[in-house]
Amino acid sequence: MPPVVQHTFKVVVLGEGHAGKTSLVVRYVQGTFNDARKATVQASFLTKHLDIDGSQVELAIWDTAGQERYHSLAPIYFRDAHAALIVFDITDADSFTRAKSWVKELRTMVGPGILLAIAANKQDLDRDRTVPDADSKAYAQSIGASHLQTSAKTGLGLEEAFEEMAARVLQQHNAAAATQQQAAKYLPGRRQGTMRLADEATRPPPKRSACC
Amino acid sequence: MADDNQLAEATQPLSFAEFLERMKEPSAADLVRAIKNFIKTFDDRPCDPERDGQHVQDFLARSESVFRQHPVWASAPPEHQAQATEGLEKYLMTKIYSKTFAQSPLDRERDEALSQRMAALAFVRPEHLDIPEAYQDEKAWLLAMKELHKINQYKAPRDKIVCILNCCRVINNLLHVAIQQGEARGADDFLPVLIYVVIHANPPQLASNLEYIQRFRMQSRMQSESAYFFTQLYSAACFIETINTNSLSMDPDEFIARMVAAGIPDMQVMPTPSSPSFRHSSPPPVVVTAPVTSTSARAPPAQNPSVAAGPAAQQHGAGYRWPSLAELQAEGVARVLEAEQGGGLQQRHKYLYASPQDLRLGDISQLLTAYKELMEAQSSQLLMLKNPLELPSASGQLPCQK
Repeated sequence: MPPVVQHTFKVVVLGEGHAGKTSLVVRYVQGTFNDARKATVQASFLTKHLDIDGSQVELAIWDTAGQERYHSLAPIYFRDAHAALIVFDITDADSFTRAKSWVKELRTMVGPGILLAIAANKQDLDRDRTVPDADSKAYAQSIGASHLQTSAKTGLGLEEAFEEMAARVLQQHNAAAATQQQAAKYLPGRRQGTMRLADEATRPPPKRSACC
Repeated sequence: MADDNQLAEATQPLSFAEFLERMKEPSAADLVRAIKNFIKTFDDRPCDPERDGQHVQDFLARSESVFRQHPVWASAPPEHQAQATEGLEKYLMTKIYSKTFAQSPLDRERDEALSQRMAALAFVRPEHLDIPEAYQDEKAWLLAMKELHKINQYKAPRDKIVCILNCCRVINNLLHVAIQQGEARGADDFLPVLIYVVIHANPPQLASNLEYIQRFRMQSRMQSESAYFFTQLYSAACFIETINTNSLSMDPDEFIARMVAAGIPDMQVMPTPSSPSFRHSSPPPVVVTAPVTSTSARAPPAQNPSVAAGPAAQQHGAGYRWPSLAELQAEGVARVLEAEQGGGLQQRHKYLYASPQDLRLGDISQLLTAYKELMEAQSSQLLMLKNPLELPSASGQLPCQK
């Protein structure tokens, strides 16, 4: 029997159609690139179980449509997300520009609460590279995101990308829980309420209706 | 043998009938009383979707923990306790369905507007959404549409979600064909097919269904796959609601002409320069949270067509071209709303808020004159926009292509 999941974190994956975000997620969750036998029926929503220093974490990975015509729908998917993985293709400068625009939108829509990671994907195509790693690294640093060099084809950097992300989300989550406990200690009269709030922190806040 | 039975009991799901049966036990009387009292609070009170949703959510969450400690359910296996809460949700929502589903005028108007749009979009072909040929399987699409239509056969939020999941499953199976060819297919491929299916299914009361699920489905259960595919359908509906000349792979002029022919005002299918676009990061689409919550309380029916145009006009919109009449109209909506708040509109147009009972026979000639004036003004505006459409190359360069 698999260990009981203690935390579920929602990760939104953003990236242009050709940036390889879906392949990246599938490769990470299922292992082999392009292995039809192992492929699940759908690849838009996948989960991955992780053990982060003894904490059982499940990543719920939400793929999003990257075509430009769906760009304005993205905020609908941001809701309640703990982290966002923004994927671009190192051989396509436009996809990097696009990645930056998602970051801006994420920051305005969700605020600083969401953890960001930039994946410089298709590292296996280094010879066709148009976005130097130094550029995307500097950008990631400027927005407080982690920067990862990945290749869905070789599997490079995938485990690290998601594990590092999960660890950071968990850290943030634990810190928030600790603050709440601390608050509960000093507010004995309201302890019950505070505990319920702490409980609610693990589940998504009520959804508001979206863009329409 | 006894062990086998226990095992069987633990793994057998608790059916709704069994839930009801169990709740008939005398020891469950206090639970039943509490539930009935809660249902009574919905008698004779005006509908307020936000408040009602919160009340139901609170009640379900509270009941979930009460159930766990109650003699009737405490000794049941955890999965039965979980299913008991599902049973409660279904029982409760079935009882108050008529008070909670499609009750707000705004939901109903959105239903109508969305239906009208989907009907107008019946011309949409797979290539307009760049759906690859591999997925063009009429049979599968029809099946997905049928699953989506079933959403109106059920009252419980969970049952409605199951219909959504079934519809998405059919689409995923289709996409699987491509996966077998060796490439991972995710949301990039899924969403266009879903949008296509939704447009052609044109399920009645789609907006109401989505809002209902969002408000009344137990939040603790709105997770993982259900949450994901619900969100996909939600965004498909948003896409259709805000569809404009930039949304499809087709000639913008042809798109407008087709929408206008189907009775959708052209101003509602034009993108606006203020809309969020990835090229210039603009203010966030505040409309994401605004319309339903903020306008539901005060919106009289008469102003809603314009409210509906608001988000439509503000969404989408890379590559806007010229400040058109439509755009001016869209911007004028804000001023109309302003004037309305100040009561200015009512002064100028005395029939704007009138109901049939208010009218007298003598009003007819006045109304007819007003109608003619209005139509004349509108027709001339429409012609200004349509004429270049009908004569695309006559003048060489259209103003809108500048």
